[in-house]
Amino acid sequence: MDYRQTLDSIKSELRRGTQMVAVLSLLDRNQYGYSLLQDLIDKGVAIEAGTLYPLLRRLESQGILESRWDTSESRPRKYYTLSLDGKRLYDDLKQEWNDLVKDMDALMKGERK
Amino acid sequence: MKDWIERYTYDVARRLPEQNRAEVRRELDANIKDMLPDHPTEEDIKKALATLGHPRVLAANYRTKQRYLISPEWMDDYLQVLKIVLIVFGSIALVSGILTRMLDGTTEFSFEWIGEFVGGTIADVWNALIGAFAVVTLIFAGIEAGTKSQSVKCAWKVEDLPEVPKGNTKKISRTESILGIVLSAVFGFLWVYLLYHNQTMLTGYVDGVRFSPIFVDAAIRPYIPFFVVGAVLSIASHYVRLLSGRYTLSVATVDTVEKVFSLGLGILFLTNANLLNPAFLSDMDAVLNLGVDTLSGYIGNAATGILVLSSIGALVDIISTWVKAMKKDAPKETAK
Repeated sequence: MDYRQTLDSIKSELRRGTQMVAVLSLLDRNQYGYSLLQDLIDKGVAIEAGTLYPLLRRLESQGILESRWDTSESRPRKYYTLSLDGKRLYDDLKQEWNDLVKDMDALMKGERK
Repeated sequence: MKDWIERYTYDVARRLPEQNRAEVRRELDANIKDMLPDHPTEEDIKKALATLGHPRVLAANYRTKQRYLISPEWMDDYLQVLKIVLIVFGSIALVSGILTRMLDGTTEFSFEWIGEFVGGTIADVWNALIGAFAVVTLIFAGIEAGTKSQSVKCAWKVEDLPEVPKGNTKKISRTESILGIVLSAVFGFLWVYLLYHNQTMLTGYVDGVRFSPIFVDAAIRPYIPFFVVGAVLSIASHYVRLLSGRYTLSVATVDTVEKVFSLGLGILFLTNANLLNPAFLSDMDAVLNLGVDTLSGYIGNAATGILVLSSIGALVDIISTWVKAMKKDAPKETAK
């Protein structure tokens, strides 16, 4: 077993599930794709452009995000923000995340005893 | 600028459903231009596109559903069926390819003839393999398409579970293998001996009158070495079974080679009309009074019957041996 490789693949799997929550957490205000990407990277969320852009599109088609094109500036940009459903979804996911953290904490503390 | 951006967005979009293409291209174009400085050089553009990754991968990320010709759930069954069908169809094509060419009546062995023989047979086998592959793949793709919705895929009953095999079905008993060696040796020797002494042994007496031999000596002589090889192959096949004690891929391979060889030899032997001695036929007719044509017709029918039955038998045997050889071992607890 290549330890490094195994660790990396499990880590990226763990992070993958949290990427979407991370994206939703930053979309309570209008953001365009690239600014969101920069924002995520600044906050330590490892996500690639090739993952983020399709994810935004998927979330939009599911009605979680709303979008509008801004063509008033020299560069046209597509701005995303949480829809009403998206806000509700994010609140529920936040709750789920807190529960998860609590459960995992308890689990790992129990193991140490 | 060489339109790198346009080419990239086009390469992604062409892999997506028609109705999404225009919007995805527009989005991508905007996103890529955001990644670039105000007056980008060609290097800047290439770097930005490289961070987005291969267009194929990006397109796959845009697609919501994974698409499969044959999905992972079916892959095991697909590969197992494919292996067996390829082996069986390949062997059949090999034998029939060799036989039809040997029976085409050519007596002159030229380089062209040998070239046609080898090349034609390889082409036959190749076509059979491609055909078998296509049929199996189409059937499985059909099953895949038919069970597309998850509800169908996940619907199963506890009653559908296969039974755990009792004992180890892969085991080959030692007695069976030893018996096989003995019988192959005895009958192989007997058959060769009889053919060799055709003049005196393969004939009959009725009311003290001796018949002419059944076969034409000169015609059967060339077959004798092949029958010896057949007997040796049969002994070898049982010996391999004895050594491994269970159905393995090598057992199945040797078994297939042996069956295909014997069957091919049998077909060549039984379909050769020159082997039967006309004198034997008239001698027999003198006793039975059925007419020589009727008699030879009976013998021909009997030969065809034997051929059909043994072909089916060999085919069933080959398939079942391969199925056993590919089967996973039974769990330890039950393999007593």
